Amino acid sequence: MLSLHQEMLLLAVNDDGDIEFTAGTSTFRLAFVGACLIELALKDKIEVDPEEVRVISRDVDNDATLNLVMKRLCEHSTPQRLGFWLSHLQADVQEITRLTLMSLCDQGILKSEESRFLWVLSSRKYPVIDGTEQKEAKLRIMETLLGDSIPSTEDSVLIGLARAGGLLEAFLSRKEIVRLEGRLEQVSNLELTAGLVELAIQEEQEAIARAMLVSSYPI
Amino acid sequence: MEITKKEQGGIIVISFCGRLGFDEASEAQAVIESAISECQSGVVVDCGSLDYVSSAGLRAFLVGAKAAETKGVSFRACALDENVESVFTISGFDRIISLHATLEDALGQ
Repeated sequence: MLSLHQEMLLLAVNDDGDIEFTAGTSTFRLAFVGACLIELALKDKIEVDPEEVRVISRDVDNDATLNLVMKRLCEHSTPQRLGFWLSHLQADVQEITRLTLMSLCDQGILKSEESRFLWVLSSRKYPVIDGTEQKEAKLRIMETLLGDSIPSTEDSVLIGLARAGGLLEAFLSRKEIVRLEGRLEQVSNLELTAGLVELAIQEEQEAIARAMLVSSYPI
Repeated sequence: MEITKKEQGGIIVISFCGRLGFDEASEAQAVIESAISECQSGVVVDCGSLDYVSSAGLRAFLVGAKAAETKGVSFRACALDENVESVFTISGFDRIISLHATLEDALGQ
């Protein structure tokens, strides 16, 4: 079974192997780093409450992405709030993304291809190999959204992350998202770490909106 | 954490006293799961003496809510203090678990 950060990134890969535009947004980056922290919480490697994140076990097996995140968490001697870590880990977000993409390639889910943009600029694409895992993640999201039962923590959190990261638009029309809004609200982020990530993203969006308002109407 | 369990008119009332964190989560989950399998019509978790709940502890409630849904019985929580209620709200548990101000409310008395 894939981890949350792997599934989130997999949902951001489009049919051409490009990472969706939304993956470059600050909201996606916060949600993606949040996915790593939630994965650590679900694996009982960290314990989270509204005041602090505490490390329970440093052993994160062979997951290079989680190893990097855990290394950062252990660099601070005093426990910090989740919001602090979401901001602090932004400095590592490119490396966290690279390590997660590599893990998906190593598992035979994506392949890494060199490509050219405008025949000159080189870029890298990550097309899915057979798409089974990506389809399965989308199917689980759809089954939860179209059903009426309480989802598993993992499915609930994946929906919340996909929603926050703007990834639902990749496989649901705007009209469908609006129609499912009530169910999305009900089943997203049924987990404390995920709820705190959602709050941090809302605060970031409000700060961006305030900054835009100030720049539009200078005093 | 101290856990007590009693039956009241087909409903099993579980009382948590103290902290519900990583160290207590497994026991809390086991007690909730066994109460749901034993109960006739539902389970109420009395949180009146619960003064802390973390991400790990909270998961026991989601497991309880799912087990109750599968069995077709009610699963409620009551008497949450401000901090614990805030954790429930942040986690969206107030959307899937019926929260009540007092045990009497939760029991429908």
